[in-house]
Amino acid sequence: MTTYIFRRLLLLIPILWGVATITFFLARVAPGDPLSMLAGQRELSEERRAQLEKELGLDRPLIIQYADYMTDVIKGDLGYSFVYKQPVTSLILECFPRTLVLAVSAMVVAVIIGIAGGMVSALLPNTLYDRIAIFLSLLGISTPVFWLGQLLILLVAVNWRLLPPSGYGGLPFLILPAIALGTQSVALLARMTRATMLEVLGEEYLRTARAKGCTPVQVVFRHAFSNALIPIVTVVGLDFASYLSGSVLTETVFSWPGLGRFIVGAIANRDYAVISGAVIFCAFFFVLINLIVDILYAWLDPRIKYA
Amino acid sequence: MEIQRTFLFPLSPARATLALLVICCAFFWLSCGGGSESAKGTLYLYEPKNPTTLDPACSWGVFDGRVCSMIFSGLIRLDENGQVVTDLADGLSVSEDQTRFQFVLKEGIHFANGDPITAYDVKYSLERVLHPDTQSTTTWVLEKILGAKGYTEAQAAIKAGASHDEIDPVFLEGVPGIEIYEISGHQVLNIRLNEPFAPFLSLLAMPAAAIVSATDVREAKEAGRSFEENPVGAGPWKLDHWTRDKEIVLVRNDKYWDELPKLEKIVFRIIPTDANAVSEFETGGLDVLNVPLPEVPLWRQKTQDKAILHEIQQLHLFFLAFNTTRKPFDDLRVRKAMVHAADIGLILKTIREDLGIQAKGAIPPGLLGYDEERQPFPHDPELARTLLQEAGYANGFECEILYTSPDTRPVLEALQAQFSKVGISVRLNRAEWSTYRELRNQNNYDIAYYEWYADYPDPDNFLFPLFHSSQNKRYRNAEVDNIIETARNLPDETTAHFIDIMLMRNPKLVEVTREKAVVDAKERERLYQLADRLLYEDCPAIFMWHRKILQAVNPRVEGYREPLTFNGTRFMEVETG
Repeated sequence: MTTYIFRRLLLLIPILWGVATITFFLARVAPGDPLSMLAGQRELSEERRAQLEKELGLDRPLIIQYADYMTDVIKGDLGYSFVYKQPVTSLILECFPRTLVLAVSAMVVAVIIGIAGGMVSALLPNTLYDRIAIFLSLLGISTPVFWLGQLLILLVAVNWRLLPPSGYGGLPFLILPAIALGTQSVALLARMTRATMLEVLGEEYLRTARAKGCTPVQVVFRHAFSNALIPIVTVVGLDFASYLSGSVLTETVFSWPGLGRFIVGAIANRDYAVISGAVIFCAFFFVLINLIVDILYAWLDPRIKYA
Repeated sequence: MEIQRTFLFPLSPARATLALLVICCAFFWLSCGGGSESAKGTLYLYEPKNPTTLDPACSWGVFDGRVCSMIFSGLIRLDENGQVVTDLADGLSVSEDQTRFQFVLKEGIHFANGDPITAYDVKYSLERVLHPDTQSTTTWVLEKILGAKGYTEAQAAIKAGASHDEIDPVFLEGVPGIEIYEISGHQVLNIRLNEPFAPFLSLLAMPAAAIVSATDVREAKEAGRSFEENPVGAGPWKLDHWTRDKEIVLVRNDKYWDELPKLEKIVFRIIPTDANAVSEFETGGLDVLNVPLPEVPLWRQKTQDKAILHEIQQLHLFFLAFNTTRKPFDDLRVRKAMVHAADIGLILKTIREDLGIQAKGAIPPGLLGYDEERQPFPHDPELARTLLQEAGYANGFECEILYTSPDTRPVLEALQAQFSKVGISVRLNRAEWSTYRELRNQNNYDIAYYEWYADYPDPDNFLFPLFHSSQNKRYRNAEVDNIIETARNLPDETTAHFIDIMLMRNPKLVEVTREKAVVDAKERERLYQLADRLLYEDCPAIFMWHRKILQAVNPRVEGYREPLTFNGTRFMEVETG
């Protein structure tokens, strides 16, 4: 297992190199004037433009810029934002914890409601409850987060005055964005749990468990649910990784100061170092979470062996 | 190797899931911190985006400038009516030809960190803007100071490796046009200009000319921290914290030299969407709201106990600029035809909810040179067709309007329909800001949307950057260029009031000189009127309107007044209940 984890971590190197290279060149070949964010509507004179390009190192050949950038990245330096005039790493680390809080709480909402709903639905198939649950999960998957977000703000914050409409602060600020962000995962998890549980509940080993005198709770949780977890963990892992990469819409609708809004702002500003740095950072987490999911597979199903 | 399940994970999956959930709940509960704060003595404002910077030397945006002008003080500043008043300068004397300015610094003034403010800090601050290391794009604010450009070039050359022997020695000590000395114990700063420059005092009131602490900037650099993380100024407010994408919180600076603000705190919340801003205002999270256009009719019906409404006219110009280096827009008849085809009045009434004053030139009402008498070109599709026929476009033509703000789309769609009635087929090309700027720089457009807010309340700020050929590569009118250049070098009426005994010891002579300068300054008004008329007739753009906004203010707020320019208020008199 240790060897496997080590090999997977080694694979991070070519993946991050590829991500860094593609992002570096894509950001620079995309149309846009990086100096425009430093000058506003007023036009820069040719002379001043040349001076600034020199100061920011944008006048050098692209390949030299790339070589310098990669050298810095290898040293752990993700560069310097020419808009905010601060190291990219510190800027990312400023936003990331807020995105992490939102992602974790959305996932908590999704896991609690989604799995519980899916399980009950599987245990009571083709009943009214099951139909309602299927309908709600279909609605949840189909509801765009920006619409649901606005609806929650209008009802819960503006009409009922129960929670603040937007912003970042204590727990009350977190509830609405977590619900809005988690809703699609709730729906997906509920459907996934229902399907896999229904499949597992028909297996013969559950009959054996019952015959051995296990209580219904033991049968469902210890024997059925444990074996239905693998696809659920896959969905949770993928969704969680995408939440960490930035949930731009949710963050925008609820004015949540997270990584997603920060990255979109950097793209609009053509803040090259921030774009590349943030994408490398997200790619790192994406790969890491996938690795954790793979390890969880082996834990959940001892038959899975990694050599 | 087989995974050692029981060793790695002693819990069963079900228990582990439960434990994980408990840990997650505790994690987000703890990481979220405190709840909302008390609103008394605090004013809540908002902006859709972060400021680009809180370093005044690099500030160019409205929000940057607004916050910087609250944290920092300059030698002079603008008041809410756009008038020049002294700030850290106790006295100001101007020479007869308006090329020499002498500032006497107030005594016993301090930065927010307690350091005394010296004339050296003033000189350092101005030279810092011009130094290449600062990477400022607002060097234009100070470029009329004698030797300013030479200083920037010399420092850039030194940075590139030139030895001091290769540099003109006058630029080694600093900018030749900025001198400091002491007279009878008073700290004095002299500024010399290359030539008279009418808006210079207004420019000195801009954030770029704000005074920073030389010691603090150096310490920040040595410590490797960004200056804008903890900017130290001498304004009535100081930065408490800036959480990117969340808020900027300013608290009262108890070391401010003048009377302190009545409020204790101002919170600028970053709210990216209009819908959220409205929700926040309605739930008490904001004290001032710029009502989004689609909601204006609804808000006009609201009772004053929920929100006090003000219609505010801004020093602003919205226009569609023709690329006159391209066919067919090099032909005045075509440009004029498009001006006549557009029904701006109708658009203002139907789409803009009457929030705007139809433009009839570049200069907005309230500024020198605005012509009350002149009428906008009438909407006349027949005349437009005739003009197109004369220009050889009887069957019309195709063109593209480049724009960036999605809010502009309904206006442009209305224009598209109006142009189609005279045979002009218009495509709308929306590009995000940096692409839009790149296309503009490359001269790669037919017609481009422009929106301009005044940096300083002077017609020069509308005519020079927008229509002088040195600034706008897509339009050249030698006569307009000449008039703008002449007008900006004439005596300015505001500056004339500061003409003093710097060069003349005879008070009577000062009086006569001052009066003469005031009379000469009237010539500026005439020239700006003339330049604006020429632009109106030459149609380098479809001048659309000068913007008005509908602002809602929470009734708990007293003394709030929207300034004429972004840097014109420091909220000194505002109170919240």
